[in-house]
Amino acid sequence: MLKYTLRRLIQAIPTFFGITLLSYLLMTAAPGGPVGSLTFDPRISPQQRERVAVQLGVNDPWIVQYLRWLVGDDWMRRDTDGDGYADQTILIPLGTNNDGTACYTLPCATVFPPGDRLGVLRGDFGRSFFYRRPVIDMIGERVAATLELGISALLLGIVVGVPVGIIAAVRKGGWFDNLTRILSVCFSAIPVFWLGLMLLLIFGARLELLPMGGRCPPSLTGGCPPIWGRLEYLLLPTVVLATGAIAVYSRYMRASMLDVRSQDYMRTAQAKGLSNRQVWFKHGARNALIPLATFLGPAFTGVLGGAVITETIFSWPGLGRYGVGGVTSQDFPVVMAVVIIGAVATILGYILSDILYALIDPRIRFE
Amino acid sequence: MATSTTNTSAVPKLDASAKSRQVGESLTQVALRRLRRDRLTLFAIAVLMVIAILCLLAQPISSALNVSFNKTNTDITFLTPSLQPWFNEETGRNEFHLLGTDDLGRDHFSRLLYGGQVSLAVGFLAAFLSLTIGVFLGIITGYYTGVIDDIVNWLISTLNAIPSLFLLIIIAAVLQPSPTTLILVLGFLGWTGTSRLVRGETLSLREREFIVSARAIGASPLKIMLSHILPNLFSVIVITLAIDIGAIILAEAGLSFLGLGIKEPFPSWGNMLTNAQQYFTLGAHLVIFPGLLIFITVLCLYVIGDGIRDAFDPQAKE
Repeated sequence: MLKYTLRRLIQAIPTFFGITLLSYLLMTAAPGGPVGSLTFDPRISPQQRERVAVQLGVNDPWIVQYLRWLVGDDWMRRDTDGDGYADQTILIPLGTNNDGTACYTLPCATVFPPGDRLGVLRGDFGRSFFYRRPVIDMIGERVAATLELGISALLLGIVVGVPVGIIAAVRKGGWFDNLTRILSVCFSAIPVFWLGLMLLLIFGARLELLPMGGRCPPSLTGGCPPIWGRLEYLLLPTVVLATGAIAVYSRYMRASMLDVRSQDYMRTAQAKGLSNRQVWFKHGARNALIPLATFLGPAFTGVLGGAVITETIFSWPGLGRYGVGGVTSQDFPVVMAVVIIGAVATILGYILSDILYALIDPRIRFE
Repeated sequence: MATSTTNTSAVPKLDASAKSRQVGESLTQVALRRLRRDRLTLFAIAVLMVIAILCLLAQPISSALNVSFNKTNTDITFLTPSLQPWFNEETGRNEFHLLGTDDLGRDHFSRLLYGGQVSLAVGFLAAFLSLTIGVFLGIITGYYTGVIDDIVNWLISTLNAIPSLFLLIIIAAVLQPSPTTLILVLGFLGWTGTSRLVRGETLSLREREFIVSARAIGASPLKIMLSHILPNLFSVIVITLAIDIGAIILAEAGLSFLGLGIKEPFPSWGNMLTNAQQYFTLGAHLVIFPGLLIFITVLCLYVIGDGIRDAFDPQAKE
């Protein structure tokens, strides 16, 4: 078991680096590069801009830039004598010459302070260009909101989707089965953002039953009350985010139940005279639930992806909305942070659901 | 069922009176015959055709109604849908704003038609692109297992590990969004599922007798892939295409809604909803129609995909 987990984690490492490399290359390909927003600032002279560019390493080869972003530069440009300025370096410049070009060996016209970036691997995503704060702090403030919404939606999806799938399978071909089949196709064809907008229009603007968005009433001080104090804010975004999960879970659960139905132990249970209810729920549903575990990983990804749009519509202060805002304001470190966190969560989600699958199904053995 | 009817059903294919499958009829012909009798699928095809034709005729329809998708007019902001014409004193002509106007006084119906052109074009072309890539890589990896297969598999699992919307967001942030870049991006990201599917089919096809015999008489791998494997993938390809177009239309709408796809002033069904929250009190019709059109279009495509799948199912009963 432990061996299997370890092997899966090790297999995920190349994927993780692939993702970081892919996202980083894509972002550096952006017009203006990662510091494009500095280029048009009229308060900065060309020499200053050149210095900043050298210090940020904009002109370095992309592999060096990528390394600085990934593993930091505190070990590249070091201060050994403690005067606050760098005196030893590998890969990146120590300072600039008089004409603003990079200088690698002392003496230099200007010397930079030692590197202070820890790199993504040590949890340092850099500072937001727009908010001028460490990205990791801002992520921390927003993770809770996204998890709150995501977990509620996942729970709602399971609580509604699983029973619907079971009933549809038990009464296969009946009106309930047909109705849920039609509904699930319909809900997978509805654009998520439109569903959210329509619900807001009906329940928020017309009936005025529910708030128009946000996580809690705009309070004067100190954040949101505990979750049970603001359920009306959570309701619509959760429903919108859960519809996809409900549609998928119910169809999957139905298929799984129909698979289980033809198993020998079901016939045995029937033959020994158990009631239909006991056969279906005690012997059928329990076993049919097992394959659903493999679905938790993809479902988690779906929730994360869906959260981007849902959070935007409902002004939910989570990661997805932060990421979209980062794109709009060309805030490179923010976008990268949200993408990397999303990808890591996805990879871990897949591994976890595989392990969970193996844990609850004793027939699966790991070599 | 199987045991009780074996004796009688083993023969009927040879029975001349049985019309379930005529002699010499190919699977495609059977499927077409079945499709002609599938009312729901036919209805979906008809609805989709009507939407597509209306969108293609956006220009003549707009001029016939004396309206325009980008002409602003502050006198008639937030008109509600009506058949009554609005008399334009400047031009001295009656303008028919069938579905009302938006916050800048632009005709909503006309914008929907032009927006539909974009959404449908992006959906169809991107789906064709992703299908081409997916089928190509799927056949190659399925036929030549080994290093290529491993590389493509790694690429697929990496691409799948990034939530696709995030990937789309980075790319949309990097490239200047336009219909062309959207087609390229959505096409180059959507092929993973198709490729896996085609790979699986190819893996099972390549061990079949007719492939083995083709190889035995010395057919080149290219010849086998093109004229023996590809035709057998036809039904898979058609089904995937229908579903993919729908999924891509949804993705495009989502991106445009977030402001990362088609940009104003050019309309698309997604970006017409970007500021929808501001219309809640003044013009609910502006919120309803764009989404409804996306919904109907995508639903039709899913129904068509399902219908084709049933029609091609060799185990289906007549």
